[in-house]
Parts: sequence; structure tokens; C-alpha cells
Amino acid sequence: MRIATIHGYATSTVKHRSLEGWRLLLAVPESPDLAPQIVLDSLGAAIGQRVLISSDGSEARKIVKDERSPARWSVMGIIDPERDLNVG
Amino acid sequence: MGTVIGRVTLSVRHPRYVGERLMLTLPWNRDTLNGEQIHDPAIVVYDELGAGVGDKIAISEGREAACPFEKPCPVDAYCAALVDEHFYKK
Repeated sequence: MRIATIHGYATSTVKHRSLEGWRLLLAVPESPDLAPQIVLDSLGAAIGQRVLISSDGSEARKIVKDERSPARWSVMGIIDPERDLNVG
Repeated sequence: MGTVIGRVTLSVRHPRYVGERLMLTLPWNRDTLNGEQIHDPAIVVYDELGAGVGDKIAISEGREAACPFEKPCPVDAYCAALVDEHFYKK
């Protein structure tokens, strides 16, 4: 999984049927080695929030309930702002 | 995200690629998002949605790219959506 910040969203009318009705957010990972990703969001993450994203497609397919979905990155959780400062 | 810049046609091909649309696409990186004409190196994306040159598309890379196909097939980048608009706040 990666930590990323939501910087926006993408709208699409022509897309794989499994993505119908799902929010597609624009997540910019904090580690520079990974390019910005369009992520499937089922948790209602907002722009500016830090989230945990996963590239486990099987999880994304469970969310959209379609075993043929090409969905890969999805939001696994929204990181609490206060608690993530006291590290260890 | 990526921008379609062309199409790849194959006369000799893997049997699974018969009748396919393979679009040459420039994947976006942070600079692209900030409005610069800089992209990651081009990749070829399998498209079933009718993406055209200049279209913004959402790309699914890796194993998930082969999920939409009944038979296992050698696709590792798939066009999951034609992006109408994208909103980006720095």
C-alpha cells in the first residue's frame, strides 16, 4: 500500500461497465517513484485528505462486485490527520 | 492517466491481439498534472472504448489489465475509461 493525497477527480461517461457510479479520484502518492493514479473510492475521501491506497486489484474487484473489472488502485482508508504525526 | 498520441497496428501478431485497438499513450506524471508538456515514457494501451488521438484516458496497468478478458491474454495496460474532465488542485 501507499500513502497518497487526494488532489482531484476524473469524470468519465465512457468507461468499463464495472466503474459505473464509482468515484474516480486523482491521488498523488507521497513517494516520488509512483506516478499520480486514478483511484477507486468507496469511502468518500475528500480533496486534500491523505489516504491509504492499494494496488490489490482483487480488493477493487470486490468493491465494484465485478470479476472482469480492470480496476486496480483503490482507497483502503483515510489517514487521521492528528495521529499520524507521533511516529513510534 | 494518459494522453493517447497514436495507434499501433500489427500485421504479424500474437493470436490474442486479433482485431485489437492498441493505442500509443503518454502516461502522466506530476509535471504533467502541473500543466507541463512532460510525460513518462510512452506505453501501448489495449483499448475497447474507442479512444482517439488526443483523448485523456484512465489506464489500468499490471495484472488487472488482463481481467476484462475471458481467456488469459498478454495485456498489461488497459484503457479503463475515457476521461471527460479532470480536476486537479495543487
